[in-house]
Amino acid sequence: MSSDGITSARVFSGLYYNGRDAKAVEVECESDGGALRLSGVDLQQRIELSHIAVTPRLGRTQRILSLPDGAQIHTGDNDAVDALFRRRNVLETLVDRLERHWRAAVASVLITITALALFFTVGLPWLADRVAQKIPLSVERAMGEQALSMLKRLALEESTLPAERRAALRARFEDFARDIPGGDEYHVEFFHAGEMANAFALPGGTIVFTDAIVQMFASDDEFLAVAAHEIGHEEHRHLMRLILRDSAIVVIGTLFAGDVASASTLVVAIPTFLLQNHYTRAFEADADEYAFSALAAHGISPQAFADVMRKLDAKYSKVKDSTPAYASTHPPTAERIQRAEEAARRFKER
Amino acid sequence: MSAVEVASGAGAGAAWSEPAIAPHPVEHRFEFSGDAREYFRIWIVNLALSVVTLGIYSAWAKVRTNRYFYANTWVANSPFQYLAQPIPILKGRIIAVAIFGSYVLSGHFSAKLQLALAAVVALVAPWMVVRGLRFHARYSAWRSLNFRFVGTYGDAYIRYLLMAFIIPLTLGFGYAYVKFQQRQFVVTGHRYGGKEFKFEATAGDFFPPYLAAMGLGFLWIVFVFFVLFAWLMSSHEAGELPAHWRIYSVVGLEYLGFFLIGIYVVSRITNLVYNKAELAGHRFISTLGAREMMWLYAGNTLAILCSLGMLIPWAMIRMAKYRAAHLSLFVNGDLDAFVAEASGEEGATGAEMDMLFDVDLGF
Repeated sequence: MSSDGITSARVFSGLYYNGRDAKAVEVECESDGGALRLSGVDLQQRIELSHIAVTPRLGRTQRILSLPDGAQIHTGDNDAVDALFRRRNVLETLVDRLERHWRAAVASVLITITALALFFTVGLPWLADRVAQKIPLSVERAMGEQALSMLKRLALEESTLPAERRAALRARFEDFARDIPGGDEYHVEFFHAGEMANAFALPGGTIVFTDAIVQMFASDDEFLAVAAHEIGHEEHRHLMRLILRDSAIVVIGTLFAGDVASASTLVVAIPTFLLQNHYTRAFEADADEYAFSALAAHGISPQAFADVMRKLDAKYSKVKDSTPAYASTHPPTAERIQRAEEAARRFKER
Repeated sequence: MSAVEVASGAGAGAAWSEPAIAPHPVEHRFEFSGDAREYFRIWIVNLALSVVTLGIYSAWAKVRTNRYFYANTWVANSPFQYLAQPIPILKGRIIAVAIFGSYVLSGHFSAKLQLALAAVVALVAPWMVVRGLRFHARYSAWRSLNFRFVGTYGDAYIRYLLMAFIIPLTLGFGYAYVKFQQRQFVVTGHRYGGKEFKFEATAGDFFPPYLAAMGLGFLWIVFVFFVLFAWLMSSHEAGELPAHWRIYSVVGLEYLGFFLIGIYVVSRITNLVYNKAELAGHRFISTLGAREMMWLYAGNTLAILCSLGMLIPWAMIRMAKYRAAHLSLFVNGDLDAFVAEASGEEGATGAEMDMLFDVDLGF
């Protein structure tokens, strides 16, 4: 191939289709100034190069030259076609060049891994968190009510705790929440849910305690420790952020799965699960930190939190690594207890 | 998308004229000429570009991927052609992602809203099916002539929406009949080179594979739940739940069974559809083996997991090779008699939506 910029007089062969039927005619193609000269049985044509559309190069697959009258030439002589049609399909010509080099492939592996890691650990959380801040409180409340009515149907029953006990805890909670900016949005609800000892914050500020967890509290401080942790979730908008992140992962995963499905379907589920778990753990640690400082600000030692965690851990470690409940979706309990006790030490030294 | 769909387009589209003399049909085997090493480079470069451009390039990547699989699928010495352009696919993708995203999100805000959206999607599903088939056919070609899909929306609404009610009314036993109606719609709606695809299968042909699958599925459920769960629980002290990993492995076993049954159905039905399709004299013979397909899928899954995804292209090439190697075109007479038909452009939105919402196209 000449590199003088002028199209070289290179001959290549291909199959000519007239655009009207499926019959192929063998043709020889030759460049002739700015035109392509075709010659085959019963076929002599000269077509301006600028009137011919060419498919971009892709592996060893055939190129298709589309002629103005609807006819096509199919040829496997990629180099000849490239020499003839320069500066066509600029983007895909560049992509093709990358696709042909192992060095570019290796670089692509690294870029893909780095970019995906950055996207899922930094980009997507950042974006989801920005969006979460913009979601109005009314939408959050609607979500909370929807979740609560669903839970009432599935798992939650009327609380069996004495009404006075509930009223007392509610009063303590309101006292506690009063100092938090926007604290009047928060209120507590009690439900019976069998043996399940659990507490969770719903979007919009409702914090749900099950009877079983309330019965485990040795003091109101322990109740407030758990409540502070749940307020932490809501203050950080954890649920909303989690929902936005998870939804993005589902959509991206589905898109990606469409391209993989022909090979294997199971493959997308695993990274999705790992990512979701990773986000959850980070949020638990954030809520813990929030609880430690909120408790300290109210003159309550974070030791109360450590005590509750220890009890929950004891309750659920009896049932060997089963029953996903309050403790198990959270970071390893031992680590959280340790951090709570460090916070308690700092609180004492204050 | 893979050679499977290419071949399905071909299967739906190989019509032929009456042979003047009745010569012996000539067998042309399908062949897949893609190479795993070559495709790995194409795949990873396009993946990297898609990721770096936050998905915008994925439309170009999709076109290059489809072009690669089509152009490497050969029959009678001619490759298939994929003609779609990236920009319409990008537009379709953006619309489809927006709708799918709001569907996923809506579930968290209001169950009623999600239910309403699901109903809307179900109502437009037959429309998506037709748009998807039209798009795929219009931009698939062989020997310079593109396929066409001419099935009507009305017919699609009957077979994909109305007939779906047969399934619960017959306690699931009517499923095979509904599937038959849908396949018939897909095959007979295709045109290639001015010829119609014919479909000679009857509803009765669809019952044995589906009934066998239902029977196997039922037996599997009984086996896993009663036998294995009984064993699981008995190996534990009363009042305690068995360890997590044991529960998961039993549930995993359950899914593995359904997965294998699914592969059995796919291979049987694919064979059936090809073997009963005809394009005015030309026929197809598909000989996918259920057991071979199971090993293939199992091997692919294992390889992809162990290589952290790096063997996805290898698995895709392997599957395309196997599928092509088990498909033949039997030509009666002359393949040059196909003639071009006029066809306009098709939008990609329906095709992209049915990809995300996973509407069952039957292939």
